[in-house]
Amino acid sequence: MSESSRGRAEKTARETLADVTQLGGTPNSPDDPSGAAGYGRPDSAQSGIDGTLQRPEGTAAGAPGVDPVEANVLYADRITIRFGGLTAVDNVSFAIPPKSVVSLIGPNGAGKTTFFNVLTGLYEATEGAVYLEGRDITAVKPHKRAAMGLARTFQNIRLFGLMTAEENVMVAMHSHLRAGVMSTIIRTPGQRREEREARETARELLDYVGIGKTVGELARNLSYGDQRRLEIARAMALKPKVLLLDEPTAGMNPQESANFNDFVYRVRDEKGISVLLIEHDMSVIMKISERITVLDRGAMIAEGTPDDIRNNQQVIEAYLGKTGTREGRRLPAPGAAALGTENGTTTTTDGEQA
Amino acid sequence: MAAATQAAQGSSGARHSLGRYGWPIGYVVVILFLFFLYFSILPALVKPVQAPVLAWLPVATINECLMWAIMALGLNVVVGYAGLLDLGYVAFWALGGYTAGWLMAFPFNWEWDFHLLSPVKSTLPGTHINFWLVAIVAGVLCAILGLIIGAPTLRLRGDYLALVTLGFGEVITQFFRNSNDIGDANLANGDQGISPIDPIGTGPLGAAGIAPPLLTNSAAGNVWKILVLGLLVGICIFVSLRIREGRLGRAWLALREDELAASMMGVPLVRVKLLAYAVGAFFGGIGGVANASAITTAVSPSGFDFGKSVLVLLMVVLGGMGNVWGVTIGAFLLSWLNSNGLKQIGVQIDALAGTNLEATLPRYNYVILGLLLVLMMLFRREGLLPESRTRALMKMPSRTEAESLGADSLEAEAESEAVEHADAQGDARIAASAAAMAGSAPAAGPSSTARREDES
Amino acid sequence: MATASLVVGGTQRKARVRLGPLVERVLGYAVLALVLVWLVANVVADPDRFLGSLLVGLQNGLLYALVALGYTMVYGIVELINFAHGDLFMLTTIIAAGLMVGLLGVGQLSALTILPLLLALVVCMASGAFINMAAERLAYRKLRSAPKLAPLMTAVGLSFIFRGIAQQEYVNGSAQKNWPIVWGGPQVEGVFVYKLVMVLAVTLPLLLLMTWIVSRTKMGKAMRAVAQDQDGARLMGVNVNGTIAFVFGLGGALAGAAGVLYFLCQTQTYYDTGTQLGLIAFTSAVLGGIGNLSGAVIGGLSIGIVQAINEGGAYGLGSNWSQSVVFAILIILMVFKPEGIFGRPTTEKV
Repeated sequence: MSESSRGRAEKTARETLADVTQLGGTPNSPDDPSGAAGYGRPDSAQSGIDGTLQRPEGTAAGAPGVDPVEANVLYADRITIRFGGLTAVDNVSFAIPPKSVVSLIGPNGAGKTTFFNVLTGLYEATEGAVYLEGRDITAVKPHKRAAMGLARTFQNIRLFGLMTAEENVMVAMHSHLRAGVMSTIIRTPGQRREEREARETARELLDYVGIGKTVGELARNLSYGDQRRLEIARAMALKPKVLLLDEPTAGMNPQESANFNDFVYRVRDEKGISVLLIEHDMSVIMKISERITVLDRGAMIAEGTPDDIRNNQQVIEAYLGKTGTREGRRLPAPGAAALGTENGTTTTTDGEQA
Repeated sequence: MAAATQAAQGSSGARHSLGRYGWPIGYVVVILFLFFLYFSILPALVKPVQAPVLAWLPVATINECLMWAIMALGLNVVVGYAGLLDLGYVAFWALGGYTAGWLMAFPFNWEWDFHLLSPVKSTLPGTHINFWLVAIVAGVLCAILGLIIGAPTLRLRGDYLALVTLGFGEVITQFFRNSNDIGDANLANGDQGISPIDPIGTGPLGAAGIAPPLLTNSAAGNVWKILVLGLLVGICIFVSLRIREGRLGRAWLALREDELAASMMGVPLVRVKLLAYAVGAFFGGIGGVANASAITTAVSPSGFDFGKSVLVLLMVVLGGMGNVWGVTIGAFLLSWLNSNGLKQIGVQIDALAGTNLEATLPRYNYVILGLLLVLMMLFRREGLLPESRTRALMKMPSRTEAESLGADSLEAEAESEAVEHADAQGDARIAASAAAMAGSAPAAGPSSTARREDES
Repeated sequence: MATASLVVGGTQRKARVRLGPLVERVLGYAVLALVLVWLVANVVADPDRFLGSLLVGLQNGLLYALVALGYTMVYGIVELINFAHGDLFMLTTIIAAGLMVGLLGVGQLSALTILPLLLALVVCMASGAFINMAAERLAYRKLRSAPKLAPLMTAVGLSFIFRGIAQQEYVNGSAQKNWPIVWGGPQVEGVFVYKLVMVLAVTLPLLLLMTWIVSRTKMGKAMRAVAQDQDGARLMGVNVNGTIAFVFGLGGALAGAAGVLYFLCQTQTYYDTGTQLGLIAFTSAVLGGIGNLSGAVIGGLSIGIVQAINEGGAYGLGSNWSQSVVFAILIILMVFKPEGIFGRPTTEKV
């Protein structure tokens, strides 16, 4: 595998006339115009299962004989994501049990966000599968996953700024409402009732997260804290089974963090929703997570309770002991040598050798 | 109409931002006023008062304005509500017009006779179906065409979408131009077009003698056309507003603002976008039939060109995208300018300055409209009566493509690059808090102190 | 679909291979194969007509390439589809007509026409550059940070203005205007050899000049820098405004050259030429990979040849359907391969 990726790197490094006369970027493939998922597209030609499965200690597979797909509300099975010659996520399995709070952490470059995007359907994994409540959703589009109960918030708040708070929440109810175009035009009693109920539900959700007073305000006029809450309210309008929160406490002071912790417990206990946190704030993570998974350089290096993680040597090294990254040398992930996935150098598709 | 007023009171959250939408009564008043103006008021006035009014606002112009308003409202659904830039709207116009040509005219080579609730004499050969039925059929056909046009464009962004829709408009027009020889069949008579097209019938009103039985190009007919076209415009406004309040309207707004977030919140982008095209196209079909039957009484390929698509777009943009009242006013203003206003302005200037602008100014209509468009984009992008959201939307600096696709994509990209460009500072911060965790009992205090110390 | 079974916690799960990119690649090759078959069929059915069409296609294709370069350069540098570019080209055809026939009285073409030709080239290229740069300076520059709709609509407005001006009687009128230019000399399958020679003689040096500018000069480097990262280039001391103006000027100049050539080849001017040809040229730019200059040339030639064979070959749909054919190509490109032949998915720097 390393040979072919090196070969590809050489091919892109040689300049053709086409390269010389290239002005600026080109619009990329339609379903990924930002080009972020490529660096080329995930290599299907290269995929295929090779070698034996390396499993770090204490994985979420749980007790033998228990099918993790059925037992967990969300289960990611051996997810690998490759872009061109670069492996962003390497064989990570991940489980979210029902009615639980779990966290996903890791230093910069660990692949958390990439993995997260696979869970939500924004990216297609090169290998592996994702299951929601026992159903295989690997090929399911993001909006369908949302309708099936996989809700998320965004790290950089992405509210519909020009719509009111109430409307923001009601947008998320789209998949649960039934009214068609004709019934909307003539306002059948059914449609009117549905709208009324939706409005009530929206207000309840806004109250639940604590911003009940901002019902009619444009989302972009809300304070930062209120916007964060609105994001969560909107996500909850999807009637989710699992709520994925992407760095929800960024910018919060300790008091707000504490409130947030309580809120997460309430969501889990009162609503029965599992919560996944991606966070950098260790205090929050350690305080409320039931289980923590740690990624580093695309691979899972630890998984367990907060106590396990706190005392895990590899985790501490991952955070404290990174060396030589300037040269771009990827230190081999544990067990990677056995799989033969070690790359001496990383290559971006510009052809530059890192 | 009473239901619509109730709607005004019913939707609390939406009321503040929808401007003057709660005035259907006002609209009905305006249309009735216009009708009576030409029906009874003007003829009763003395010549010196009557003449200038008729010069500046002849009945034919009013009817044209109403017809353009229908088209503008249709495009408003696509561009104003859903934010999909469609530069080929003329395609629906053409299809609507030709539907009228197929279902409301003498044959050009077809050999059957079919009448259905048509006001024309039953002895006339050809297909003659009632105007209202044809309008619905045209609407449906155009909706299907809208789906066909929309489907390949779903993943295209702004400028590409515009160009592809423009191309569609050109192709449809070319199709009709070549329609007399498609595989040796004459489908739509090619360059000659189809004429004449049945006028609108007035049914019971005509039978009672109040109105002329057929609304032809006579003076009386033209006045009654105001009512018919006014009704059609009213229906379009009504339907637009109603859909806007419901879940589809919300989905369109969300889509317009942030496609990615909308899809992550369960909005099925494909279906919602296609619906926008379909609804907008439906209006276009109705307008096309109205145009063919009431305004031009004929249909031919030369009547449909790229310029018309841009003109409709200009009306939507000028009026204020997303605001039905703004768009209607924009349509009135621009179509008046285009068909009669420039000439009248020329006449006035001639009287003052002795020039011959009456003849020449109208010929500069495209130049003036183009100039208007450029100036508007430079100085008042949001239009005359912008919807509050549009004003904000047009003032915002444009998101880069990567931004609009997701900071998450950026994040992931950044992550992958992080191997080479590791954020040492960020890591140090995290490491410090991790170290604090490893070294002490978990508490909010020590870690945040560690963090604060690091940052200072 | 390659699968492998692994025992996971006591049950069997399969890992899957993604099929999407593979299917698309196969489809792409299938389309290419179909086109080749069609071409071969035309050659076999009537080789003489094919040769004639090929030459016409070459001639037109080079013109398309010149106009496509304008589209692609401007898009590469400011991400704007200059809707008015085709109409700018149309204006230069009228300028060329007015200059060569109106002023210089060119009629029967001969070797002496080289001088008026050169003069027309200079004048039209300068006019094209000037108009384009003026448009950039007055309209597009202010809208650089506005939502994409604004510069797009402005370009449409400019297109209207150009067309409206061309439609005036004292400019060109609403109808097609035929000019009394007469070609002579040998013909191959109905194609004047000298026409082809003229087109080659003008376009090839221009293309070489373009390549040299972009790849070897400092300005070319500046162009590429600004295209990739405006702010970064500014920080490095590149005169961003000047570079953008230069690119617009280059594009306009190329359109001017194309205008002269088009006028001489077709001997007619029409206010609508710009819109039609603009669509073709833009498709060429997209085919070659928008932002890529050699791609624009390859794209132009390809489309030109395909169109010519469609119109003149044995198995073509005829000139009535040319626009639809070209447009169909555009749609297929946009939907399946918007990066075109030479485009590569490069990450956009924010």
